[in-house]
Amino acid sequence: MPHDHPSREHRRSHDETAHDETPLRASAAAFLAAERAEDEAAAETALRGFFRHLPSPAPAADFAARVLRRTDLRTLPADLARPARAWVTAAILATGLALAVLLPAAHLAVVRIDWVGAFAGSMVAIAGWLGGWIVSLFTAFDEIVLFGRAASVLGRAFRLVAASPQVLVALTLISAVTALLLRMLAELVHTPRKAHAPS
Amino acid sequence: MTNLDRSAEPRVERDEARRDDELVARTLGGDASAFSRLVERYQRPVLSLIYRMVRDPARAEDLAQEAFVRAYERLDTYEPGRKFSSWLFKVAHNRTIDELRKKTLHRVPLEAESDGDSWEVLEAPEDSASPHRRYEMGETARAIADAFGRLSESYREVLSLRFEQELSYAEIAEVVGAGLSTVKVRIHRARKALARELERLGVDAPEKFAP
Repeated sequence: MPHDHPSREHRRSHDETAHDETPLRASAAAFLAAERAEDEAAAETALRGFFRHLPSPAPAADFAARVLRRTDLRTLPADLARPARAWVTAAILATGLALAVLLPAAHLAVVRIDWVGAFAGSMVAIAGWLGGWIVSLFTAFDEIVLFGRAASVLGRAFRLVAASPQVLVALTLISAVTALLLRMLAELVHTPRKAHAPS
Repeated sequence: MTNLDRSAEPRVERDEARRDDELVARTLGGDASAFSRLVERYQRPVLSLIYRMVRDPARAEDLAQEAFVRAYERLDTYEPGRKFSSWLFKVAHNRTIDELRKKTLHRVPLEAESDGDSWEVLEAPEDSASPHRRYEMGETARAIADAFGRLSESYREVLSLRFEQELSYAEIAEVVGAGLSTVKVRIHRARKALARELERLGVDAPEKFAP
């Protein structure tokens, strides 16, 4: 509240006259009267009037422009900005995850010459890549990585994959091709060794 | 309006809803001017709602901007056909509640709150009135706004949503994430609390009223 003001005394006495009533005070008084009379409709009308006159801040003249700047709308189209971030994040995370799983598979194929191990490793890597991609895509959209949400999305994604024969067939074929490639790599690595081996 | 039956809404409201949906679709299609129009259309009600909750004009403006940015980022979660303003108020409510919980918003004492620069950005009622009259109205407004400010933040919010933004009970329930009956009870109690504060101030008794 402001402190003493030269016209305060005058104002106070002025307030004590009925003709001085402001619209805000009038609506507040009307609301009180309606509440006492338990007149629901009148109370609601008075409250609407009360809020019409209750001071509130006016937005700055450049409010919308500042919002637009903060959303980068002027430079990035809305439908590309977020998906682009999400796709990049998803691709990086999923590729990292897939490589981490493919390395042991490659090790099995090249060093141990293990067909089954390479196939299983490839399958896990590809499934992991898909799962990681889907999860990171969803979490990137929300911009908040919540473990529970990520787990639920992952569960949904795997249920979706498991329920789709086409996806399972495609996954098996891609895994077989990957394992075959790893096997060919193993042959390439081991053949020169054999050639140089002492007879 | 006390129900969500869209068919019972006046034609103007339905047209506005359609226009909002169109602006949302255009924004999602990359049209910056469409989002700008949405902001211009709702900046005042959103700012007002947040201000009623935080009672600091500068903080309210900042939070309102953040609410619009968040709304933009999540625009794809808005379901066309629903009331855009309710969805937007929900975003603003969540952003403000987050802030209030996270930082335990600095609560300015009432004396200081209604004083100083921040108050000057508030709209002056009746610009055509004389300076003396405007000063008096300002003083009255301060006293009554302070009385309103003594209500809890949740009471101020539901009263604003109901009587300032004119939302239905169901829409308010959606915005604040509470049940319909909870909202009705909260509004009822908020009204009683406001009446008590106004009575204490003496708004209907000239001999008592001294802003």
